[in-house]
Amino acid sequence: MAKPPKEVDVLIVGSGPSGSVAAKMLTEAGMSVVTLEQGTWFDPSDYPGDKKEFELAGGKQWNPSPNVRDNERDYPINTTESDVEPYMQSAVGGSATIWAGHWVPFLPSDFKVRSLDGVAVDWPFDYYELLPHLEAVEQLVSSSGTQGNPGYPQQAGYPTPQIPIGKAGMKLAEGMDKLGWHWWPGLNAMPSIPWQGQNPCARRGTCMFGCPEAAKWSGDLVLFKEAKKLGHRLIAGARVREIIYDENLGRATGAIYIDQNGRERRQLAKNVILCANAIGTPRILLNSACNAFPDGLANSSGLVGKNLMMHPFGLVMGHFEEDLESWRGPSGQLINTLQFYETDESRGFVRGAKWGGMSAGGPLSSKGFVGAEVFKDGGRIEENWGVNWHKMIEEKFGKTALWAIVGEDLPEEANRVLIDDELTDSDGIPAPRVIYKTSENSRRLLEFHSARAKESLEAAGAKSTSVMPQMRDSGWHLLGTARLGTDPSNSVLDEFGRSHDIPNLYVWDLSSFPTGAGANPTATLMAVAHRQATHFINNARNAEAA
Amino acid sequence: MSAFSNEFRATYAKLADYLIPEYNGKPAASAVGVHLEMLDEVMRIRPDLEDGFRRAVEACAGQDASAELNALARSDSAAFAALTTVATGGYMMTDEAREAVGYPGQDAAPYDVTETPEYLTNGMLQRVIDRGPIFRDTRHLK
Repeated sequence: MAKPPKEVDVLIVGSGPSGSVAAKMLTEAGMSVVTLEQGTWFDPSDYPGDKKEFELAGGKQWNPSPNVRDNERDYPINTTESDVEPYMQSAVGGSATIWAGHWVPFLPSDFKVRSLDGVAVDWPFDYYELLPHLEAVEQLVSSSGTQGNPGYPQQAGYPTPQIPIGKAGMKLAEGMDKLGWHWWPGLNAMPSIPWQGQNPCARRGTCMFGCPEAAKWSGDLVLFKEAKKLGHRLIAGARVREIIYDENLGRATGAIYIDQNGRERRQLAKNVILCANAIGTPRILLNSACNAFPDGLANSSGLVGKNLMMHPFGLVMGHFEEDLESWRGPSGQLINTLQFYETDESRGFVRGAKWGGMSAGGPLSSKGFVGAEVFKDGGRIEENWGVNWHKMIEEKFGKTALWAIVGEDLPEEANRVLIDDELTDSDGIPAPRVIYKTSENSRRLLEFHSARAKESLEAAGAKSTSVMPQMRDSGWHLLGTARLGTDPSNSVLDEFGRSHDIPNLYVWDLSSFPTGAGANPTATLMAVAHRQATHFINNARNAEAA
Repeated sequence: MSAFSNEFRATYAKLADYLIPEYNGKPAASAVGVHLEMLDEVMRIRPDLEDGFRRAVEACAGQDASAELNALARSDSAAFAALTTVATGGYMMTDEAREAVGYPGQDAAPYDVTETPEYLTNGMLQRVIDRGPIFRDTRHLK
């Protein structure tokens, strides 16, 4: 006879950047913690980056879109009504297993967009309160970089030295230098020397297909293995169907999940923390509807699933005469710029974007970008094939430096995550449907930034440029579907990521972000998780647990 | 698992050479054997491409590769994409093609983190610092 499930202090759903920070801190604080992860363990030696097949494999089994991979551990997403294809990975370590490692903390203005620019909402806390938590997680991820960036307020430095920016990074910097524009050597979540169990970055430039060097930070590499020694339990292949809600207690009491063998199981807990990403978390909450919450758990505001943000993403490539070895990484940002980050209303839009200078990938990426078909074939095939294909490779491969533009997307309730009427995952759990339209502000923002990026590449001496102002295959950053706030009618969570409706239910992933900034969010995600976990630990005695 | 006939491989070789001919020191696709063991290797890596690839080769088995491939690209773009992915993917996994385009693969070249970067010695980064902070401070909004 199976033993009844043991109740633990904390159940975490999802093992990505926020879930792993939570698991580490709460376990170290002496709490009993179980983390449920729908994916399984990846071995760095499985990643294709150090194999000849890496670009081919990146088109399918290592593609960032779950709809393309279509693995048994992925859940499908109905994206027929979305302008952008969402990206994620199901694995221990979550989507961080295939992130680029770009470490770009949000700026002070990102937390005050209502006060400064009259749009969206302010966060219930600000940059300066978050800064010590940011500095803590910068140590945790074994970051590498150069201190003193005037794009930010002063802060502590990074534990490992700068990774070389390479010939492509230097070329991009030269263009910015000629124009007198801001740039800074790339800050990345990967060490340049052996550090805390992570190997140094080998500059293979294949970060987004998994790091075969075990250099780029993700929670599976070191963190969960260390937490296990302290009693943390991670259950991989555990797909959460719903959060259990006790109407008499008015509390969440755990989760029902399907294990890797297809068996239904329960994990009971005094507290539940969702870290399942901004599509996965509202999916679970909406699938957990009950008598007390017929429109989805913790959804008295009606905002669970709404305000989905996906950063508008554009790409501008410069093609140069000289060999830049532009397949070389990290990828990982070589350099970045915040020159046009802050609002200037004379541009015809609000907010701004960060540009990341990146390597351009292998030869198959010469007519696209990391597996995406950027430049569609048109007309007669001979325009792109035959001798012209060789000429394209000669002109672009190894000679391309690019700016990847990440712009701010403002929250709109019409952009949302719902439960699809028909689609399910392989365990029969209803799958999400995404409705997302790129806003006029985002389009104008990308047009402006693409034009400036083109200018900078021309200033750097590019003999030609290629511009892709908005890409469908770009949903790397999913935010905003269960946002923080002080007003329960206008937010799902309080400032510590606790449900306004259910006092022992928390959301600490990117769902909780009220706004999305114009920067890669993982640094701020981990800093926010660190802040919330710190508060949780400090107030454990007063917690209203199940 | 795929099992391609010699006739099928020969047709594919002809199409692959039309897409990737010999040029300026670069070998043609069939010269590096994209239709031989490399085809099986590509299918091992990307079995999802097989259906579209087969459709493409079977649709373009006549004498006029240009006309047939252009018609395929218009009528069955997925099959055309599968064909070009198989051809270029296989081609760029061969040592001969990589050497011809100067690609060592995503190698792990050693570097010295103690080496002073050029942007520090030539003043480029100092000019960024000298221009001063560019962020909007928000401490007055507390």
